Amino acid sequence: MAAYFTVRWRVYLGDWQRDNPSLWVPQAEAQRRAYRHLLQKFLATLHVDHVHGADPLQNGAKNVWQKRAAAQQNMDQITLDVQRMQLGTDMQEALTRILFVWSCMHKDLGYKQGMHEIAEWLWRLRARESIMDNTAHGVQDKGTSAEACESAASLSAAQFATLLSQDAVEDDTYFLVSSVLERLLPQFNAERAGSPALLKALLHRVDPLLAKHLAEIHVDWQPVLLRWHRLLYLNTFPADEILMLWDALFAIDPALQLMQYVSAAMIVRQRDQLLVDGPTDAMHHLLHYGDQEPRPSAALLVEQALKLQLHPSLDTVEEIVRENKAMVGAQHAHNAPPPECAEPHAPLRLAELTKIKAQQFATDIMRRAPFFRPTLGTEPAWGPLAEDRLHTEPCNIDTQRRQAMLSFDDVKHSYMQ
Amino acid sequence: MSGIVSFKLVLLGESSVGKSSIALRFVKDQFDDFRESTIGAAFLTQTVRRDEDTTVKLEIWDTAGQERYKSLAPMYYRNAHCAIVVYDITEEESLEKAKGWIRELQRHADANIVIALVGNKLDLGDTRRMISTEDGAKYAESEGLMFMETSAKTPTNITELFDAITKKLPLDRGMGAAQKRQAGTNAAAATQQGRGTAPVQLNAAPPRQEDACGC
Repeated sequence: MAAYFTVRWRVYLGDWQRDNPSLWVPQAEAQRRAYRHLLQKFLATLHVDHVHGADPLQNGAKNVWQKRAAAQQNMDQITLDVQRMQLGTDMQEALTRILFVWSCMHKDLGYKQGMHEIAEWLWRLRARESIMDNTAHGVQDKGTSAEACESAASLSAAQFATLLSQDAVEDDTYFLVSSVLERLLPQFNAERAGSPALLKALLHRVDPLLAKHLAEIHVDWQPVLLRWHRLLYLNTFPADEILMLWDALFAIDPALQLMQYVSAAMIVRQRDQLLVDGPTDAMHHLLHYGDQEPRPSAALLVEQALKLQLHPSLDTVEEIVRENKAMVGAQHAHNAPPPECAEPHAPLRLAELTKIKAQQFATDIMRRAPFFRPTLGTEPAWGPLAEDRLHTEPCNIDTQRRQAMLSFDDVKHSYMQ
Repeated sequence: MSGIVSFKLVLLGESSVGKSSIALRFVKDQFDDFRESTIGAAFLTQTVRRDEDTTVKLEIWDTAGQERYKSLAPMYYRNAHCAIVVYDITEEESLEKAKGWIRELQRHADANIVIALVGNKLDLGDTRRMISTEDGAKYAESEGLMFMETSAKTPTNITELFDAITKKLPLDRGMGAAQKRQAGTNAAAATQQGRGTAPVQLNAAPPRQEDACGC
């Protein structure tokens, strides 16, 4: 069974009710209608010339014209960026519409460069995962709709095909883009983008040697973190690694509080290199992170990030270093290819979907099991227990930062020794 | 003076004037007709032979041009030794934006920063030019800037541009200037030495410490 990330993520990110798959189709359809409504409404703001009585010089009409100017400005920026991506006309127009609606829904921030890359990536993924309804009224298991109503946990093949309908790629992509961008807002907000305070405090606590060296060579964290976080590592890892990374993140920590810890785990993974780097080489290694050999395994990073969040200590870093060595060893020994990404390149046909597969899929999502599990690691750090702990942890960044700094005295002691 | 001296160079200018293309042509000698927009900034390095004795290493920050990220720019031009401010000779407004960047650099960047004004897309000069060479050159002269028209596509004047900038950079102000390689010194000592010999400015990046860390 393929992963169907674009269904999993809608559930993980809260668009559809996780414990009740029978609601997914009605929810998806309501959302699609909402998107089309919004699209029409906002496109109309671009053409206010015809609005009754909208004279720019008249009192009260000012707002309409200002709205139009702001909408037009967003549209121009979006068009400029999307055109540079060299896409087919259909996709180009769809992305422009998606981003335009998003910018109208978030007037305070508007469209910002980079959002188009997230939209493009999600559009391609959703389009690739579409299910071709090539049978006339494709429903082969007619009985299941009724069954689905009886059992909340089941998902019929027909319902599944509706969720991944080829006709709703644009509508569904809008909600994926929206869910992801909502969580990345601080990264697009110039004042808060790339703030390294938590990461620095964490590194000082868990890996004082590395933190000290990086401070001495004056590593400029902000450009690094901005590049990693703004696109949620999209330009940092290869596409198939991104699938694993995002899937694990969304499944385990949909609020993306783990992001700073993922970055810390990324830095720890490169620690041998960074410890001997001068300023220029360190910047180069951090800003070209994905180019390194051996291939970084993204799914393991999320597990390590979770460990760092739950137990920010020297021991955790030691354990992570051991895991990384084992990973490198395994890759060298077997020349092992990275885990296969099971997503299909051609749209799956409805006939290939059986009721059982669709149900298994729904059950997996309800358990929030990440599709990819790292193959290494002493014990799975997630599971119901870890998840509970995660959600009882304070979710506030400032609190996390304070906690990371709590043991600053320990750090000082470790310098003295 | 011998050895490698590093300098920080920042590329600024409006969106899609060709900043990344200039950087890519210079560093990798490549060109794509369609370049995706830069997110945040790209970081590239290239070494240039300045004369027989000296090699200069340029750390290039190729920034995103979108106006909406303008408030992040100081992060990239802070401590920069040189800036290339790019406009597109086929886009009238892009020169005005370039002038805005230059005013900002003159006000907020290092007082000794070397600034080059560059009119890019010279390959379109015969057909779609909107800004005359004279307009660019005059403004550059009045502000005491270097000036060149380039094409990252053909390529024209790209190597010349970076050579000219490299020649203008004061070697004693670069990162790692006059720092001798001292195997075995620890990081703290190297930092001390760096402070003593290459005072750049208060918040400048420290000298390179290639051998400083014995870990």
